[in-house]
Amino acid sequence: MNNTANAGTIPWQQTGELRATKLPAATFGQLMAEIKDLNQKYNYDPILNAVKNKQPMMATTDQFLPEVCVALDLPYYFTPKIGADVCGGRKDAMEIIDAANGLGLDGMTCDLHKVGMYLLQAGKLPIPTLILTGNAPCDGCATVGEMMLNYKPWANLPRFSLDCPYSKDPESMAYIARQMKAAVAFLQEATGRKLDMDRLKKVCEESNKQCRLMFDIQELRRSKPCPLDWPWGMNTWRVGRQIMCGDLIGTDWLQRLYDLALQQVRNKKGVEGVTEKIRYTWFDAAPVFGNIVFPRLEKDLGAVYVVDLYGFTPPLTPIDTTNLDTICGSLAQRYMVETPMTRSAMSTADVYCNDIVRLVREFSLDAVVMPGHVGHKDQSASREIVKETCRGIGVPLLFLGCDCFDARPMPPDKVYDKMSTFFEVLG
Amino acid sequence: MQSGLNSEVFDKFARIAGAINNSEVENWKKQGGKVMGYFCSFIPEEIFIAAGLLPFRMRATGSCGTDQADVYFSSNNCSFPRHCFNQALVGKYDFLDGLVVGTSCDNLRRIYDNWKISSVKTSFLYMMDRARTSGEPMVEYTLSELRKLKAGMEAHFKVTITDEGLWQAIRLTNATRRLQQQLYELRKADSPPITGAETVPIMVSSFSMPKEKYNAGLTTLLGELRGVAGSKAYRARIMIVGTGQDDTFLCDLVENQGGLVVMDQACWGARTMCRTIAETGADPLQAIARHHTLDVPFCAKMNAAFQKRAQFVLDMIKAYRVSGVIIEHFVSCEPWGVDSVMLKQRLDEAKVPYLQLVRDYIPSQIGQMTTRVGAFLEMIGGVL
Repeated sequence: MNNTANAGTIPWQQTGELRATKLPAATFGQLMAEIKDLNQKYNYDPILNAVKNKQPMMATTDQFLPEVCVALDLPYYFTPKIGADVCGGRKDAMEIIDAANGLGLDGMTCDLHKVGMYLLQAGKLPIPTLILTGNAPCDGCATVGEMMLNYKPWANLPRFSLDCPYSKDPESMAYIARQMKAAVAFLQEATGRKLDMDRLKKVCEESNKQCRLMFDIQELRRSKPCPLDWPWGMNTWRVGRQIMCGDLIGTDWLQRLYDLALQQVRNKKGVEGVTEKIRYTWFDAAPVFGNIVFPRLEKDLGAVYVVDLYGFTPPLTPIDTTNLDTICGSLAQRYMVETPMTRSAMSTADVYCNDIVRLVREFSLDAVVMPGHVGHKDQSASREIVKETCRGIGVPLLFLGCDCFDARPMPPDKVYDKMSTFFEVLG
Repeated sequence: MQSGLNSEVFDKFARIAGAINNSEVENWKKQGGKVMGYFCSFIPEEIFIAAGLLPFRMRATGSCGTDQADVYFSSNNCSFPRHCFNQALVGKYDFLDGLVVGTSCDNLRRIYDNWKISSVKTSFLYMMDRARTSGEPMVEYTLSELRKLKAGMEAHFKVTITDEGLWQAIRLTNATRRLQQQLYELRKADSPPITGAETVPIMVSSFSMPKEKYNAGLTTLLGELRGVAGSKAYRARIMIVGTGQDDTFLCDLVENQGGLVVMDQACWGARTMCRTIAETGADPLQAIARHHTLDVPFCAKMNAAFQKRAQFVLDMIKAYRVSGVIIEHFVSCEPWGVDSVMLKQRLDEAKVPYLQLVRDYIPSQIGQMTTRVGAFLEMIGGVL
């Protein structure tokens, strides 16, 4: 199969040149509103167009090689993001989760994966032309990949499986870098497209700029009062890594968010209408019920959600664009060590705890909330370790044990009650 | 249901499987021996044996609760690591000189971290990574991790693990596997001389005592079993697929209601012994790495391996004339939960009846499960 000649039907970077669109300065509200459009236009539309035009399109379980996919003009979806979009945005999300339970999946499986598995089994996912799976960051991602590989209607699709090591020593990192290089070869073969190294370098350089901006945005949250409200951490990650990786429009969006946040800091302004009294981290994925719980906590108690697991971006090492080997080595580092959740779930508990310590110290946090999302077994099994860590640095910890993507097991009111009681005890 | 087996050797195996710190471990320790605990089946006992240690596969036999472990784990977590860790916290694993935790599932891995901060003091605590995707390119990674484990053990225990020692250990554990294969062969008969519930302690004890003694005992037992007539008075031949099986709970549930468990693809059963490790080659560690990365029918935690797992189940259904499959897994087990969805599709295609049971390590809702198993047996085997 050779689709090189038809690559131009995909709406982004049609000519191989990165766009240089500059969008006007915006308000927080405008930036938030743009995300939905960006997601549709630059993530879902290319997927649907590829299917319609019989172009290469990939199903995957995580973002292993986003820069390479952009450079290859290869649209793709990864099921946890579809799960997040469904759980966070569709009215029938709970019905889909219930239907997934009906497959016989374990009830404690993460909803993001339940959604992906159900949509797959129901034949509701766009049919890809190739599959890339990997066994990180969690058992859920690994198993949804296994289900993709064994879904009969996709049996003849070309596939590649990455084996992500738990160890992070140089030998292990070289192991995953070698596999990523092999995956790049696979992507070229399966799409019939030759990777343009100059294009890849440009995408990587743009991605480096984005990562720097994401880090800078995060650093502004150190300010008191915190200039950014609770949803911006996850959304920064979504735009910078999941939707607009390596794309100038994504860089623009991040730059505008940075500018707004910086303006807030300079004006010593925090979250609109909130007198900041307590600063805390919700050290997990932002929950779908956040808009019910967190604004109430801000208003009633001045408790501000400063940073979360996905909003926390460790300093991302710039991709070394010298050659394909250095690029793959950098992408391995970025995925295994610097991507939220993969970083903590694919490591010993020390990594998760050290990140909490760093956040508490550097972001002047008064409290740590450990949601203990039902799907994050590694975190749930770390509660005492985190408690000891927090005790060691004199910061109180609340462990919830909720489901971040299905509010039914622990409804928002209950989460609010637990958190408000906790904060009130703090004084 | 009982086979009519009356054997001192079997009784000994049952005593060993029925406790953690058993008489064989005690004797080993009395003689100055050291014991190495490990999670799970892909951690190679051969390295421990070659180092002169007694391998002991971790389980939570006798556990009554998880009160102490629940300080460390959440109720979201699988009950197997919680019960095992609880047993460690109450002192049942004080005899261990070392513990190797494999990078298995998300639930189990944190035992390593929790063990480290807990009051349980084990002088050698090691987490062993390995390839968790089956494939030729992954063998090298498992091999490199085995080399690191070997080096770590040599430094800590001040021993030298030689290639010859490893080959000897491979031959020894292969002998165990071959004897266990003979045991399973007997279960193919119309009137098997041994039940599923009787098989479990025989398998479990092999991970809890010196292999030489075990092999001698099992050789004797196999001789005894050849004289046992067995019984045809069962209404269905059942295969169990999934997690656990270090106790007889599920076999009892089936066999007390007239079924007979004739085969399994379980953590403590056929998965551990259905293939042997190559006994020749340039590097014994490579032979071990290949075995655990390419050969065995794998736990559901191994990726790119479902076809092999499913094919094994389908092959065994034919070989053992299985009339129904019970897929069981612990609550919170995502790998087996997802595998069960796919396996059920394969069983549907093969027109093999199945029942999926989700349980805790120490089962609750026994009445409900009894009813479901009874109804399943009635559906596939009729009334006894």
